[in-house]
Amino acid sequence: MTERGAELKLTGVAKRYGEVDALRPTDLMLNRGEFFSLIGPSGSGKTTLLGAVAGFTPPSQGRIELDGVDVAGLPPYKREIGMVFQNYALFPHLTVFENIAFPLRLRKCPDTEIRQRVGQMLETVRLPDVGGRMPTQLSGGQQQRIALARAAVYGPRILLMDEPLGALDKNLREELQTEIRQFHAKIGATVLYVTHDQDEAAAMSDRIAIMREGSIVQLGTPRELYEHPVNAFDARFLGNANLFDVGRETRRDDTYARVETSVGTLLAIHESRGGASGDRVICVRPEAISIELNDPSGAASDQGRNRIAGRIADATYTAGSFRYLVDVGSGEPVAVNMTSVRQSEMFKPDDHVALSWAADATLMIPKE
Amino acid sequence: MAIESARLSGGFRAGWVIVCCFTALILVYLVLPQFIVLPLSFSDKSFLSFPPSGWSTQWYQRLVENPSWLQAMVNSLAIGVPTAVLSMILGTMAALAVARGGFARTGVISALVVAPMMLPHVILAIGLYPLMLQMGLLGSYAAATIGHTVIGVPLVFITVTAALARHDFTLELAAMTLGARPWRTFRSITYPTIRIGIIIGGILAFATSIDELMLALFLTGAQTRTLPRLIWEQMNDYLTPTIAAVATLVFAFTLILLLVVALIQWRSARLESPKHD
Repeated sequence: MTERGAELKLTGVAKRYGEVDALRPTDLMLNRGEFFSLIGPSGSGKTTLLGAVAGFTPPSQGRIELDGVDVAGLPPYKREIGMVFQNYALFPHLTVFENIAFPLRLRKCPDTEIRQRVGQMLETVRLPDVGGRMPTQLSGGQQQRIALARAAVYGPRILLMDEPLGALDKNLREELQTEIRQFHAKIGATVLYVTHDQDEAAAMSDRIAIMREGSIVQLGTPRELYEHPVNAFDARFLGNANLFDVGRETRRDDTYARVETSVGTLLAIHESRGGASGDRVICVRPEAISIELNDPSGAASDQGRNRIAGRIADATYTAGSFRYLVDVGSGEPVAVNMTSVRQSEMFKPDDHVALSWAADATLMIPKE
Repeated sequence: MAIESARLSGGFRAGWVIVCCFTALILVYLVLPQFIVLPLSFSDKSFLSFPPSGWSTQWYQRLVENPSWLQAMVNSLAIGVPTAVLSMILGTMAALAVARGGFARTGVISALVVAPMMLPHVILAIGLYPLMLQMGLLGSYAAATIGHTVIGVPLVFITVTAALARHDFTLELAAMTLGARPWRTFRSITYPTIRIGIIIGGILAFATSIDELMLALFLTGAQTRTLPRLIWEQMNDYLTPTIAAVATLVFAFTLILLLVVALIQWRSARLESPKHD
């Protein structure tokens, strides 16, 4: 059913409030049936962008095309989009059935068709028996599933979701992530999803755009964003990252650069898009680092691996992995995650350890 | 230890009794004077006297026989009903505009809307008098309706604003994305949540209009005089217990309106509390 999803194309869409650029001129293209997330801190422009697509905040300039038709000047009720809100926004004076039937009644569907389609949607969100209840009689997770059903019942080609899981507790949030993914697979609409939870975005999305100060700063699949952040901000925003300030670059060949850092000399991949100017940092993900008891013989970087010595500052166990903070003499402690399957004994604080990771997992990226 | 706590609770009980007595006294002070008209209206004397010496229903009979009282009642309704309707429309619109925001100084606007309720009615009356004279409306139903609407709008504004405080404007955005045009959104989503506020405000505006004397004195004429104005005129000329009979009827009528308001509020509170099955 993926053909039901619309293609959404934004060209130079911008929003100014007086002197403030809530959204700088932005281009964005969502493929048919894609699950696309916007993430970023509050005030980064992601809600403004969503509001522009929904029709709540008409853009100051730019085109918003749904399947090639510019809708930038249309009010929300003429856009044929579905929207899910953080606080569910179910109509409190209507039953669950009437909530879902609302968009169908607006479209003057015959009663038999309404009964059939609402019933179908209730099945899809696996709440077939709640039609007669009032929204307040349902739990938060159930209410959001009803809101999903209502937003999709009339077959909109695009669904907008504004932090739909923001009001739910952690376990329920993970359960509904799966639910929404399955729902998306079933109805096939293109989804534009806004969240400030990067794990949520990574778990659900085909592609993600990171926004910052009114612009999209990076766009890609969750894996691309995690493994190849374009700068330190992105690296920190998506997941955990160890960052070391770069001092002098001593040598450089086609793939690797040898650089002086606060923790010693390291080998790193230099990506040309980083550019040579400006401050740069070394970025290593906590999962990339191996940890073992210190072997005093070889604490130098060689053979395509970086090695540094340190002392365990903190050790915790969470759900299948050890999480260490390792004091390496200068700067912030280095975070290391290791699955407990790979290590039988957990290190204790003050143990002297050696950290090592592949040069291929060492990125040199701009600080800003 | 035990003795001390017993004494303490004894002191507490004494305080409780004093508070209850005081509250009762205030209630008596507030409510009792309103009931004095009741025995007065059943007096057998031909002038207002208290306490009454005998019992009769002759003043109610006189009331029915005198067509000017009936005319005044009709006039009161002819002014009160349009006043209530106009107040409901204007007050609701004002409340929605202020609650939606979009204005820099909602506080100032709210104060201005509510001001006519706070200011002495005589100021409004003196202001409206020459205006109505100029427009040739003086003595018409329209003049009194306009005047009463000025003091009715704040009442609806206040009750609807209170209802809107619990209203979630995201619901309207949701309705719009689902395809509802603005008027349909208001009718299906906004109106049901503020309906109680509008109705209660309307009843209060109606009751205020029925009760109002100052504007009626200035703005109504011999053909359009309202019940309070006729009572006032009769007071100057006759001072018979008929006035007490009219007052009793007005009192009963207002009491019924207030009961209706209380009933609506009680019912809506019951409907809104979540039910579990």
